[in-house]
Amino acid sequence: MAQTRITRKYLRLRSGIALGIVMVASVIAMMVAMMGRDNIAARAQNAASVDMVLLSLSELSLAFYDLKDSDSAESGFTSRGQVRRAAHAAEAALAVISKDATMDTFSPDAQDILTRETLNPLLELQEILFMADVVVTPGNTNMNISRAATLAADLSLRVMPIFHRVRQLEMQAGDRAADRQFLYGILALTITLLGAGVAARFVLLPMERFVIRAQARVDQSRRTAEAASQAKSMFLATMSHEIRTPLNGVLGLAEVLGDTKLDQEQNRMVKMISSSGHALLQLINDVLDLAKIDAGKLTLDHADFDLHELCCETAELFSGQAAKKDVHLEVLPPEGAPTWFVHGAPNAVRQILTNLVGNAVKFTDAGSVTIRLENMPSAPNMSRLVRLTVKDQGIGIAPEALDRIFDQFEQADASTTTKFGGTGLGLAIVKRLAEAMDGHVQVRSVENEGAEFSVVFPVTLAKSTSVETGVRLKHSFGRRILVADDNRVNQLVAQKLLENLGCEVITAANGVEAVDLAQSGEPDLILMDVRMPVMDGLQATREIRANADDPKIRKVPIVGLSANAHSEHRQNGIAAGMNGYLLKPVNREALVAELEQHWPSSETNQKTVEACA
Amino acid sequence: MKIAMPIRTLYVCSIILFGSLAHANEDSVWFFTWHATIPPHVQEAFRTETGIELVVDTFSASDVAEAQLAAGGSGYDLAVVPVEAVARLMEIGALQELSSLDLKTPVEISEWVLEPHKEAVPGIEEFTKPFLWGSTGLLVDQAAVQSRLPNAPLDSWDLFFNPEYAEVLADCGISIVDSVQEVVAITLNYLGRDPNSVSEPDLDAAFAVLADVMPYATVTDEQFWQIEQSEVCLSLTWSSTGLAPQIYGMNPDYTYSVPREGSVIWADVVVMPANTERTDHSRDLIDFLMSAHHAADIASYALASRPSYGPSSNAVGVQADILRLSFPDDRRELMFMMDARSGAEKRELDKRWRRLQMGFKSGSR
Repeated sequence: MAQTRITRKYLRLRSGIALGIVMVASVIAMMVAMMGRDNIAARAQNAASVDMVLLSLSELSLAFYDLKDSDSAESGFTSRGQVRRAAHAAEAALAVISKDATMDTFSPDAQDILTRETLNPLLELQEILFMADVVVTPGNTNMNISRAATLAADLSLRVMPIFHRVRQLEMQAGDRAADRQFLYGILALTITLLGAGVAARFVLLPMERFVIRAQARVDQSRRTAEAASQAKSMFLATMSHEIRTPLNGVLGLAEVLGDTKLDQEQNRMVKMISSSGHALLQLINDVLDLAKIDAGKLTLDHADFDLHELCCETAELFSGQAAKKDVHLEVLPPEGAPTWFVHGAPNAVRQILTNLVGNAVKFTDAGSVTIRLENMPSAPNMSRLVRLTVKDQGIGIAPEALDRIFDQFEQADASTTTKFGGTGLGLAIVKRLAEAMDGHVQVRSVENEGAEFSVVFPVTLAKSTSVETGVRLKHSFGRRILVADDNRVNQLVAQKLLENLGCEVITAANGVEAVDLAQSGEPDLILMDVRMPVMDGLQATREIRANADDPKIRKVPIVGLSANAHSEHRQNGIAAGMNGYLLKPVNREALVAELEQHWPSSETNQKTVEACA
Repeated sequence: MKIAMPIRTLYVCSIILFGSLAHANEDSVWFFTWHATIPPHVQEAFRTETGIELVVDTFSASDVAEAQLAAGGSGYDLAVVPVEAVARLMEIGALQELSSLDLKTPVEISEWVLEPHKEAVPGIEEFTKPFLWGSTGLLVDQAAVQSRLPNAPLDSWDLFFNPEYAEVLADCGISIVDSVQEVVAITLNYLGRDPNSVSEPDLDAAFAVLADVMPYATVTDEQFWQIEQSEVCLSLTWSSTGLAPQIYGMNPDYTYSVPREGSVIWADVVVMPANTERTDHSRDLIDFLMSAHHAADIASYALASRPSYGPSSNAVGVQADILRLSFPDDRRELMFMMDARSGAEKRELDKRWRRLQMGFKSGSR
């Protein structure tokens, strides 16, 4: 539907046409309305001139009649003055009318009267003025004056109705013109309305329909896109969840394997299995995070952690890969700060670092990749700012690509994917996570010489007491623990971890079995998977708390297991009677920490220090 | 089509409004005629016969009637004018045709009245109906004149136009009717020239004669009053005025005559003003005025003749006397009617007439 796209040109053209129609209609309307104006004005002007003549003639007649009948010289003198004045006014009016009459400004009927031969009022008026002149001219005899006055009076009386008729005709013509003007007004209004109607009917309404249709299409597209996006997020979440279950098995068994007697090389490989698995798990979590970010649901888990150790762990994660490529990967000794044990979002930082180091190693064929940790000057009363820099000597990034490498599914070069692999998601996640931490990410690069990515973010003082870096404690609890989980691998992982901690383990595959074994097996603690077939963990917990015969059993500590990190789920577990809640996949540290909550006295510390490689 | 409705409404409203004004005075008819032509009992008879009130307005100078009709919008439904003014009024569209009125009474017209005008003014019979006619002659106080001028000819215009006589008679009063065309025609006729001539030399000659008489005469349209008061002993006047002393027996010394040189026959006609809308009333009034009974009454009251009475008709009573005195048998061949004058010609005559009265020499300003 390319032809229905709204373009600026389309809108301007249509609006222009509509405006044009209305404007043309208005101009025509104004011209129509103006048409009769001069006519009406001329009628009024003419009527006024004729009024002047009529007034003068009335005055003249009165004076003429006075003179006709007067014998005394004195009253005659007064009347003659009156004649002189009135004649003067009449002469002025006559001049105006004579001029107008020849200029055709009178209405046709009035014009006929003013120009006809018979009883022509203008010629008769001249005659009256001639006689008025006779009346006022000094030296004429009283007899002559009296006769002239008589004749002038008679003629005035005869001419007045004719002038009156002229006036009447002018007024009627004026009335007609006014009526016409009214019609012109209606016509003008009609033209304007018609113009507006045409503009609305043929321009504005189609345009409106057009815009509404286009908008509907945009809405439709957005809904489709949103639905697709939601489906994608759902898919990612589901897939990630499904992947995590077998991964738990790998990680758990690797950890079990790590606790057996191994030589140094084997130990190293097991650790790599474990850290790779964790990296994969982190990645899955990151994808979930990205989905959450996209859905606007990202919440960072804040905890105390050692930033430097995190760098070491990450470097360790990539050491094998680096060694294969003859890349020297190192974490530079941190500068300045007394401690790197801080409070922040360790998972986010780990994900950022994993991405940046992974990229650095990936794009460097020979040379070094360095991870540097440093403090940044921060404003007073503001959080401590730290900078994490990953610098490589790889292929670098072209200047024109620098702006878009942080976009989703963007890489510096289309050939990058085929050559180096990757999804193009990494830097997008880095950028979003950095922003989610109120930080920011920067890049500097010279093509073919290398790139330097820096993440600057705030951290706060650690809330717990500092734990010695790299110290792993050896524990032995010697208790009897019931593990209820329907997944055989998870069961096994938990069993092995617990056995390594000196515990005896009994297992149940569903809630009903768990309730039975809780009574018959007399466990010291129950690890209860929340989601199980037949009876779920929450229900089983309620059964144990409510129905166990032995009051000791009713009070046995029950720790929930769930893949769901939502605090809502934790609350549900506590409400059902659980004493703790562990997130799957269960790792050794979390398990130890949980067991220590219940049996703090049972620890037997055996410290092993593992420093940064 | 949207605007048609309000316009039609406006139109209908205006018709109702103006139509009602026009017919507000529906049961009256306005008649503009010479002073003393409609006797009161005839006026009353019209009301009795038709149920319509007859309103009569009068004039004593025909120029007044002509001016009113020429102005238009006079409000009269019927008017009386001299026949020689009809052509001018027709020309400016001041009259309506009477032929469309479907008149009941056929009017018998003496061929003397309209015949001379038919040729000069085509279509004049469509616009007019003859009303009254008479002559213009000389009223002489025979005793007063003979005592002053024992040898003066009493039946000649010479008595009037000879300035020597005029000078002698000035003290007992010389009066001239204020009707310039008639006076000039009579003067030209007295001079042996064409009475209807409009040529400059003829007019100059006529006004020269008149100028000699004028210092001893008065020009007036109030001759009846002068005669009644016996203020004049010589008067150039209409038969309708001049016959009063004889018919009414007012003053036996006054004698009206048509001098032996001949004189003017005048005729008045009824016309319908162009803008009257009550043409039914006009028709009713014409029928009434022309009916045999009322026409005789009116003519006798006006001391004039009915148009159906030709010089040789067998009128009876007062009408017979009026006819005999207005058109004496031995003078009929010497009597003439006046031609119509154009507006310009009339204005020229009027101007000369006024200057004459004001004491200026003929035609000068």
